[in-house]
Amino acid sequence: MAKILIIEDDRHISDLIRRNLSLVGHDGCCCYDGQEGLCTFKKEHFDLVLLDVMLPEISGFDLIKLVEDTPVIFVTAKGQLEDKLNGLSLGAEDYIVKPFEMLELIARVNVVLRRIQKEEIISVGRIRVDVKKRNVTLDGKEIVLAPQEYNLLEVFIRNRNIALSREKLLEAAWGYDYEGETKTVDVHVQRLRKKLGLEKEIKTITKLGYRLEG
Amino acid sequence: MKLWQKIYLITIAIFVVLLDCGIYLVFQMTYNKDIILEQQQAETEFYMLTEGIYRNFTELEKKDRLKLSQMKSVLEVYENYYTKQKIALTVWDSKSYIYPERLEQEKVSEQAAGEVDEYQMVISTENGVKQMQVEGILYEGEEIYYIRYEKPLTKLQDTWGTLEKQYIIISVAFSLGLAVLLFFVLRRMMHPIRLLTKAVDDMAGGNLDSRVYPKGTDDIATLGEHFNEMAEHIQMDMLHIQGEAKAKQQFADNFAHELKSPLTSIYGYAEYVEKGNVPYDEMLECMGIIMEESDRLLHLSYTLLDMAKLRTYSIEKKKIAVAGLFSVLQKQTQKHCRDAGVQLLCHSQVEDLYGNELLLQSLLFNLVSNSIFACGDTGTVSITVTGTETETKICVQDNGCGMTKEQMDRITEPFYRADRARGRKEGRSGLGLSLCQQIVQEHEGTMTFFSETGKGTTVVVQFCNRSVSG
Repeated sequence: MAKILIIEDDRHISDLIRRNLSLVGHDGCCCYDGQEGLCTFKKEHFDLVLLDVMLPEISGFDLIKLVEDTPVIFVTAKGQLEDKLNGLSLGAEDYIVKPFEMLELIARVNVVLRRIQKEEIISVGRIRVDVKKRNVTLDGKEIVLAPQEYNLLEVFIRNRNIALSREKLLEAAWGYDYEGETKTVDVHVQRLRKKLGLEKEIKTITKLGYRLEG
Repeated sequence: MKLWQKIYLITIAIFVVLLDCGIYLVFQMTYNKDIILEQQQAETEFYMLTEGIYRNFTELEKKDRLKLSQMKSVLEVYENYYTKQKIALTVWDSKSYIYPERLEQEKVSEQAAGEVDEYQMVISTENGVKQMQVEGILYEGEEIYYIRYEKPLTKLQDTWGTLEKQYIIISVAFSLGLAVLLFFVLRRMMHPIRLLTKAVDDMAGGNLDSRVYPKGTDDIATLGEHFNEMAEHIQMDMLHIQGEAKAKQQFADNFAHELKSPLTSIYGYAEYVEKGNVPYDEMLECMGIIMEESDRLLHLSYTLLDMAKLRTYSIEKKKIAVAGLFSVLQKQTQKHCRDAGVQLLCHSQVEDLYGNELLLQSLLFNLVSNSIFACGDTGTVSITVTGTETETKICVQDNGCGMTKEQMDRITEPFYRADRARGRKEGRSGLGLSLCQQIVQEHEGTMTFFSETGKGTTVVVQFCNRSVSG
């Protein structure tokens, strides 16, 4: 869906970010130093840049000045407040401190992508979701979903291929202040499976929760 | 009150008191002398006077004409003479005054009659005017006549009064002069102390650059010099402490960063495998990465532990065979050399060297490992050990990529990697040369780098064969 440039000198970490992004359907491209990152950025079009600060050749704080018109999120081990303020004042959209959680990274990336209105229609298998109109079709036929069912579906789609705990789903689809039980999630998941024929795609993962695969 | 003010007031007080007392004493003595002189004069005068009158009276008696009227006329002659000198004469017998006329009606008190012996001198004060009285027996015939000679001391008093006024003026003028002069002299003398006080204040306020510039060789100048020395020491110490604190902070920051990278990978891949829809092969790959990163953490912790041990414990040194060191080193680096296609040449001119075997082994391994890393794909690393009775010199030379001047300056900093991306990738901690530096320090030696970009690097380690104390 979105094309994301990852500039990070630790190969394992940059690879990890690329893998995580590809799970939810984003296309990541890894560069391992500032110079290489800048060259790649100039050659191709990217929707978002994930940038480390301490980079060989050109540091992240310098590189962000050269990257124009593309949103940048810093991913760095420098967690001091002044570093964060410095990063954000340079025009970064967000600042993620290592070590980070996978869902956090994806959520922050999605927030930025949504802001630049990159994704309006998402397709997973036979389902198409129009995010703007909150409208869902299965094989071209429109399916009517209750508002809460739609919210849950969107959370699943945005975090597809990632196992989500019931608590996480409650928090993401119902909101922080919802005081329902996790059983509510089970009920809604059953309805989604039935209405959209996702019996196989939404998998129950023992001890973890649910995962939408596709 | 400030010191100079105290000195000022005390000096003025002492001066004024001593000056006044001294002059007062001198005055007193001179005055007394004058009085005595005056007395002697009066005595002589009195004697002459009584002699004269006595002779006149004797003559009158011989002629049997010593009548009251005759006596009066004689006395009048004398009176006339003495009035010009403001001297008063009084004559009386046992019953009444005889002369001057204004006293004739008065009776002579018995006391006055009996009191006067042959001769008596008194100084009395009347209405603020001092006068000298000399009384004595004038003539002894049928009747005893007495005479009193009164001389006022106005002249003497006037002279001394003027002198006193002059003295007060001069004394006040001198005191004022002294006060002004002393003020400026003291201010001038205390100037260095004021400067010193300001410098100390400055220093107390945190300005360590504060110095004084003493002139001369007096106590205050010496104090100033000592102050400067002290300030110099404090400044040096502060710089040293600040430098050390900065290095420690830097170490802590770097250490946190070095920990975060492998932990991010380990946590991230574990989470990825747990939650993600990941095929089995990829899962195994991720597990491999987790293990690799854990290994990196383990290596880091071992190196840190070694460094901590070096800092805490004193090391034991003994004779070591160089051949033994070389054989262990070759085993340790065999795989490295083969993978990198690097040839390791070991050469020694001495059989033994003196030091701690484990530490020197670690030193050689780290240096050679760096050299192999610098060589990249192909190259030669050679170790040469030379030495004398007292000193050992180890040279590790490679023909690898070399370093820039800037890299060489920072090469022993903890967590510094000349080639960061590659160094991190190959799991190098960035602590190797810090450890080497510490090992060399433990051997009381030096480690020097010679390098040229593209041509290679030579590390020279030199240390004593016996510890300096032993």
